[in-house]
Amino acid sequence: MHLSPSDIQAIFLTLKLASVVTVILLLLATPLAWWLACTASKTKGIISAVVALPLVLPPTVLGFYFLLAMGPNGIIGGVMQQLGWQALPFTFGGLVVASVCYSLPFMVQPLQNAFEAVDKNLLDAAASLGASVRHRFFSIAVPLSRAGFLTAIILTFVHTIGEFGVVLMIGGNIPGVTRVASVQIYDHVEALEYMQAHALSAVMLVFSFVVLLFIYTLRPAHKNIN
Amino acid sequence: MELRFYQQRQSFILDIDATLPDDGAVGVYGPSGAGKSTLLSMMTGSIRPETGRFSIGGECLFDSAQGINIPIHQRRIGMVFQDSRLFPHLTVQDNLNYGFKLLAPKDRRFNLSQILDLLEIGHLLTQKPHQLSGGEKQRVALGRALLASPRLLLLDEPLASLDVRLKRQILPFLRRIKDETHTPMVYVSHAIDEILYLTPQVAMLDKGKILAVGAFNQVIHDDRVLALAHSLGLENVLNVKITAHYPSQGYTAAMAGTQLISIPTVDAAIGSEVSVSVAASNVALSLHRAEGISIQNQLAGTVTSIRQVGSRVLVSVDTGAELIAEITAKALMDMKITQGCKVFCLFKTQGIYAFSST
Repeated sequence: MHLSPSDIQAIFLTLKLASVVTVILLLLATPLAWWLACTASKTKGIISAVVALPLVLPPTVLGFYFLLAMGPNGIIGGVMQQLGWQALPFTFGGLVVASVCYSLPFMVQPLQNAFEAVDKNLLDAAASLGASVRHRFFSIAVPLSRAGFLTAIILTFVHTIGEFGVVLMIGGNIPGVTRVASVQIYDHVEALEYMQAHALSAVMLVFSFVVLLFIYTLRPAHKNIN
Repeated sequence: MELRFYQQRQSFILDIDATLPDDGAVGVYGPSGAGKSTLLSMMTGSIRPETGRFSIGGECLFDSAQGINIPIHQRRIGMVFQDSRLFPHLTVQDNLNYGFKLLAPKDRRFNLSQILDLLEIGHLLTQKPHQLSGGEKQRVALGRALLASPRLLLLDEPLASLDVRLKRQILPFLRRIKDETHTPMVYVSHAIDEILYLTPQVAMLDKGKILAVGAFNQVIHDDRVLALAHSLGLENVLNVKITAHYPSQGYTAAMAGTQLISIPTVDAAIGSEVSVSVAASNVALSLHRAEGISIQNQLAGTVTSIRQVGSRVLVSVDTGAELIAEITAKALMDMKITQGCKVFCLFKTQGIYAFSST
């Protein structure tokens, strides 16, 4: 059982995609989760439903709409064409955009839960000591939500690694550009290369298991520090 | 300090209109559900009243008419609560420094070592809040609030979660804060003895309204305050000084003003001050010192006022400390008591309630 150079390439592309998506989502989802945790706005319900959509929709549905939107006649594609930018479908950038949406709930929900668990009285106490909203967030809410951040980051990363349907719909199968590990495995199976499918699948299985084991065994220890 | 707050929540109406002294300490006293915590939240800015105005030392922090609402973090109002609200992820030192570091150096009135000395918490610096005892937590919370150099310190039942022994340990620190830092304090409590240990100045709060503001032995004469005090049996609250214990004889001797009285046995050191209360209905009047009677306490005094409140006749007697006695209209007539009369106030040792917390 060994990995071919194209398998290695697929693994690295997968890790790159997951890393980029995780970093982008951390920046986008943190304020969104904080807003959802704090707001009394009536739009909270709508926003929460939209955020959760990727959890229930078949990835192909999401991928299909992305394909339409990013195409030359779509909303996003049209604008990009006007600006003279490269069209997104079948590019790494397209994969990143789609994956960010696809993995959004995996970042938002653990963060929102963690933020909601922060004792509001502590934030009030910080305010009475002169801390602005921003300072309260970074000095109190973020450190007290460490466990939530860890969970959100790991789940987003692993979930992005595991995606298949969205990638296939809008990324296609271009080696080194959009051919991630899950697609590579599909290719191997299509070509009846079971041994190679085996090797790559085993790598993903072990990796995912180790990561989840990390979450479920090490996280309680982190919590105790609080 | 000008306070005007109005808010209606279902059937509860908070309607505050009072002027409190800008310096020293003032106790806000009221039974549970009087609106004490809501009032404090409006002062800090965490609850916005429907209408009102709040200013300290001429500086306006809230005015609904003018659209002024200074946010919490710019009000510089320190708070200490029943639960200390220390930041669990920070050490004691980082908790103490939290507000201090956010202050411009010119606004810092204290430094860390002063506060550590004042509250005797220097040995706790490297600990995390969960390692502290209840009393230590409260002292750290007090220190943290003081280091933020508040223009006003609000204390919301800060001793309510502590047992009697710890209360006795913390109260002297509160007095030290008042006397040594000159930070204006508003001390909210449903324990009148805690308040009177700190300050004679009280604002009486009941059912969302401030009934009166002033020295406790003055505001007690306000009919509405008297009605409240009557419902709680608190017409007479005296600060007395313990002089001797006689446990085998079932009493403790104490000085009330210049006269010696017998109070139920209390666990307090000789020379220390305790607050005791006697309901006005437990005080009898006599024109002469009574002989051959089991009642131990007979304080000589002069009648200063006689008032009829509803069907009750209340006679105020200056015995050095002031006492209010409730007698019937018939007794008043039979004894021909008038203002200026010399009388003796009689009350049983068992009729005295000694607050255990001071």
